[in-house]
Amino acid sequence: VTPGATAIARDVRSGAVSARSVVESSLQHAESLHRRTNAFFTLDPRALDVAADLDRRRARGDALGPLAGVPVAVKDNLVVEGDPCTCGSRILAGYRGTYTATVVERLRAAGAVVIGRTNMDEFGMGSSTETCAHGPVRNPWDLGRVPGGSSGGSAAAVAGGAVPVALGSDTGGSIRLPASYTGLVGLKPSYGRVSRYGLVAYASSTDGVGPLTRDVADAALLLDVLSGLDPHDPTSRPSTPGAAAAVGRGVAGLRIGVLPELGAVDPDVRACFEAGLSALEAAGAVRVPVALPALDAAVATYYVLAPAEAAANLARFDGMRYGARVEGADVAETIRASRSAGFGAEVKRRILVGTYVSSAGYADAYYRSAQRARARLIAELKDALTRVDVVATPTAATVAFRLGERNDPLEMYATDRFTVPASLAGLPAISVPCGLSRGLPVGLHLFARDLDEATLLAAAAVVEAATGPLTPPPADAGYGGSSEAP
Amino acid sequence: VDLVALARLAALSPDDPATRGLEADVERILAFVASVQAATGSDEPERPDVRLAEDAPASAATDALAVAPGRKDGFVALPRLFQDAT
Repeated sequence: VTPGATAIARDVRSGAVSARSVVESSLQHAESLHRRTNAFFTLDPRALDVAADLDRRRARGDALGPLAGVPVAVKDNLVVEGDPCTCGSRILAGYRGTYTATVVERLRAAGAVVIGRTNMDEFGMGSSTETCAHGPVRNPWDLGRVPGGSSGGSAAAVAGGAVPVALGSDTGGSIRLPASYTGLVGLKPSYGRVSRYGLVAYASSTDGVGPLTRDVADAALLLDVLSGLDPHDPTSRPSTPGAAAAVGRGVAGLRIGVLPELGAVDPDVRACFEAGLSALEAAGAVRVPVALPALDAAVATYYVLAPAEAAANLARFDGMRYGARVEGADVAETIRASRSAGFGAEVKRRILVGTYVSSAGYADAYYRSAQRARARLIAELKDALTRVDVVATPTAATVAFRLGERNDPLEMYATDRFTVPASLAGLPAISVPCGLSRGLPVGLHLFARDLDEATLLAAAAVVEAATGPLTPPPADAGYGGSSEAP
Repeated sequence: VDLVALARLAALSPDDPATRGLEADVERILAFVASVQAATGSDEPERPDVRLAEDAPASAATDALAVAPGRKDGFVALPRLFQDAT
């Protein structure tokens, strides 16, 4: 098993390994993994220089940060000054960031070394990372299967052993679903807990940035590094570090809300989920039935609101200021031609749906109805969370499915049914591995009260301890670094 | 769905076969998401009118194309959207 971020940073700080050797190993494995999975959009050899500088600073006696020398991959929708950023879309071909996302700045300040950018569903619109303009990403556990989406490249990069941690973004489940499908921990922080400055917008009322990690301790470490007020992001909120301290605090007396009926769920997935719940109960948590009828409309609500916001947010990609342009007879024709050539089918579907549901004749029936359904859902979840501390479901109804298996958009949208409620309510949520089904990972999903990531991490740590480390993919050579002196 | 009108409003080329090919998908998705009306007891669509609603999220492209009469400025609409959402 490859070392996690916590162990790497400790060893780099102590001089047991050099940052450069860790990053060099990471880049080598990333290149090999990419050939098998298409996880990366770019790999950045300049990371070696950054790592060497860390080693020089350590040799000088400088104090290094909590992520010293930790190789990190970031999703291709987080801008970095001077670096390409495509969001997995043809329309942003050739675009380079003109500033750096706050989360990347915070990673760097903590000593992390960004080694590359990961492939994703186009603009985050997908649950399988098959809509990426650079080709689909494959799951390191089974190369014939999807890694989940839309942060599938980040998930594959971590699960395949190229990096110990990666950043993803989550609008309706895009961190948690890939985490479930690839045996990782995926944390979607509370809305506003982590800055979105530099995250290319998809659906602004639910977009967020969070980590995909091999274990709960690393997720807590990343949350502490990433979270906090950012004057560049008016939706960001102050938060107190301390997530790492919550990991070992246990779950004695914790009230776990469980739905009386989960609907159609694969029997093996259900068995793994029950095993996770049993582990929590064995550690002192109490199972409490909760009825949440508003969940029934959550997917439909999400697929009104997210496309409506996407139609507005993606209007800026017009061939005028960003990315690729297709010349037309006049400005209007150039815009239409650029967008038609630049966007893939799923993005066009959502733009068309989003435009329709926010149009004058239909906004009451769709957009405003969905806002009312969302308000009802938020009230129901808030009320439930006065009676329980967390609500548990499987992260997904099945294990990772085969590439090309779900071609129907509605079938794909249903994949998100356990993850979209927390997104619509802005609540923190986590997916933690709870077992294997026919050799493929299964995730247990928890959401909690606003800003109560600590409870999620404590509960996830109990599930993790009971599940034990999942066997990594066979081709995982891992990154280890060497003990050579800097 | 009048896909030609909808595509123009969405600043996509209505003549693009790839866009036209999405008509059936869009209709099925709209039929599915229409269940939010039942969830909240709202009314049927007012009329077949595909202009942007007064409080729809702002759209720079539709602004550039001047096909969105009555659309409010994004700096007004988006904070309201966040307020509604959170």
